[in-house]
Amino acid sequence: MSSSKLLKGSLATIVLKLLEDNERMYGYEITQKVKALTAGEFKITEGALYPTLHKLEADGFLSTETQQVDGRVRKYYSLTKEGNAEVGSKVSELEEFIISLQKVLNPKLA
Amino acid sequence: MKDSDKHHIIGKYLQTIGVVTEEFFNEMEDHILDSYENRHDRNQSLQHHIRDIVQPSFGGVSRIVKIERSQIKRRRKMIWSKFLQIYAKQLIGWPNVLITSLVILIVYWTNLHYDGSNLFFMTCALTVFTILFFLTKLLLQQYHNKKKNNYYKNSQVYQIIGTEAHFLFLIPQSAIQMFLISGNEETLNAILNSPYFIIPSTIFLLLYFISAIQLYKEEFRIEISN
Repeated sequence: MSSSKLLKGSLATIVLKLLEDNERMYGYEITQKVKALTAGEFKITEGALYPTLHKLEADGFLSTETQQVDGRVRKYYSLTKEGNAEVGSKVSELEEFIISLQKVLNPKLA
Repeated sequence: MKDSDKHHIIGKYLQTIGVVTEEFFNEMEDHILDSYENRHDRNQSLQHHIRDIVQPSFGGVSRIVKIERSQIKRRRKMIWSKFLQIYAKQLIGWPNVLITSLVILIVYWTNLHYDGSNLFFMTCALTVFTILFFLTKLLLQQYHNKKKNNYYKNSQVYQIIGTEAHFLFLIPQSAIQMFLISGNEETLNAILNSPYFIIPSTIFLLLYFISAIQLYKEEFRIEISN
């Protein structure tokens, strides 16, 4: 299974965390940031990223602003107050999941 | 390659695959240009880059169109939820509840002392004005896009509100329906003179009008900063 398939379930958390650390980002920038942070190990597909961004925006966790850049319109995403509050719980949820997964995959460590 | 040529190639591509709304078009165009500017193979043409890199990373043409449709669907929900929030705030939120109470008193008083149906029809006219306002915005935007040879047809927000504005007609429509069912003018007059119909309907439509204007101020303007 490719890493992108494994990533799908945690994509919203990754996006929220990145936006917490970077204030505002646009779609392409998010894909490149993840690639850079994981030295190319994680590749977020655009087919998964944009629906996640749109869902988070519709749920009220992200707000958007558009800006003219080099003759084109760029859409920046940033966290709303609700989004900021959501990051912590989403990250802890994922961390707990990883710990549980480790217990299953490597019971000796548990 | 000149910027205008790049815009033309991407615009034609997105138009051909069926991307129609300004918001999604802009996001896709920016993404494709970013991806192309950072391509590994510097000799790759924009057309080949779209076909070999961008399209597969989105999961193909059908997936791109699906993403746009699901965005419109999500946005529709978002706009309605925002609208209901504003509506509830107008109805019971502080200090707006004072205005609502005043409106209720005026409607009630008017209904007691004058012909309440006049007030109802005036409110219906305001509602029709709201619908026409949004429909005009939608049509003007479509006309503007056509005139400017933009590759997209309209904006998601006006598309949503333009097509769903008919919801506003529910109350006057239900009165007409009742008249048509009974086929009797007396029944219609009885309905239109009944305070049980006139008062809640007038308040509902007035608050609908106020909320629609409020929503327009908050959500409907697409502002692009430089």
